[in-house]
Amino acid sequence: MNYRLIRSTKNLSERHRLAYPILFIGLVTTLHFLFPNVLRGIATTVARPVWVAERTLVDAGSAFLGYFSAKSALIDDITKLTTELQHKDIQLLDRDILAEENRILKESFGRGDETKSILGSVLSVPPLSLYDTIVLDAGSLNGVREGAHVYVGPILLGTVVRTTGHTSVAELNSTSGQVTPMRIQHGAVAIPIEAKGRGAGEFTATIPKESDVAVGDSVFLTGIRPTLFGTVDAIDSTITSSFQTIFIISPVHIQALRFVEIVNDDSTIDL
Amino acid sequence: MYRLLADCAMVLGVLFLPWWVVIILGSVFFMTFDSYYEFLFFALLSDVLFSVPLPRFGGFEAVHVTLGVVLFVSLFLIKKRVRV
Repeated sequence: MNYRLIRSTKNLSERHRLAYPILFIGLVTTLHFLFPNVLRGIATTVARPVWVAERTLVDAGSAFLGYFSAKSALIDDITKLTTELQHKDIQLLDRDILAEENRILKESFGRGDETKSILGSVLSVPPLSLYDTIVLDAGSLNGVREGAHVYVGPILLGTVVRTTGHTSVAELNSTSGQVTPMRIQHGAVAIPIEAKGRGAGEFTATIPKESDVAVGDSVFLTGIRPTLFGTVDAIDSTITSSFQTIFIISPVHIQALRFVEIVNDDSTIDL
Repeated sequence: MYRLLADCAMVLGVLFLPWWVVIILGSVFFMTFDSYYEFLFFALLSDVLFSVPLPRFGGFEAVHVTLGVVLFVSLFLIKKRVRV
């Protein structure tokens, strides 16, 4: 009769097969956290040209596919976009005058807006990792510092957390669980809220039901610079509850993001 | 040769695909190839490229490596059982 050997040499060697790689990766991970810039520098140096090549290929592919678009569809698109542009032009007629007036007023009260921004191209967007971060092609050698704010126009997206020579990693304000103090502008009333990130440019906030808020209201960050965060997308309230949940959405489509502005030493907002 | 192609696919996966697709791809390669240790390397690569200290993970920055080790051990045991 044959008996199965429980503690056989095969079992032992299999345990070693399991333990050695885990020990090795544990060692490398420990070394990475002790000297974070070594491995990160190598990895980003290798990854950056691959990301840039992918962006170039996608752009070239889009241009090539454009040749096969139907002529009537293109004419429709041009007509629609021209009409939209004309409406926007009319709406923005006084924008430059108001911005100039705003700048003069701030300067006369000693709060001039002297911020200079660095243009950064977006190399990767969520959901590539569980961290909900974006990788930018500008790093410490381009003047980007940790703690710099990342903008798209007047919209604040997040904060630079890591920098290497030619890349930086920014954490988004909409990262799940991230809490940011903001205010909802409803007419002349500013309602303070604490917006909780839900990922992909979405936030929620809970406020008393008595607070007057409407869909489409703008949500700003507190500070001297009018930093837009998003707009109220939906309001959820029940008869029994004394609170209402506000759903806020960023006007920036994170997945389609190509370029951002990076601002170091941004003292115009309170975060 | 196939293993090298699989490794290239995993590198591209880490750089361009959502994390959950990379996990599925890695699990498939783990079941296909003998001792697919690269699985852990790609988890580390993902942490190196994208990690930041987030409050929801308690500031822990090795989330992908931890997930990778748990998956590696689980898949190792599953593969062993399936073969018996």
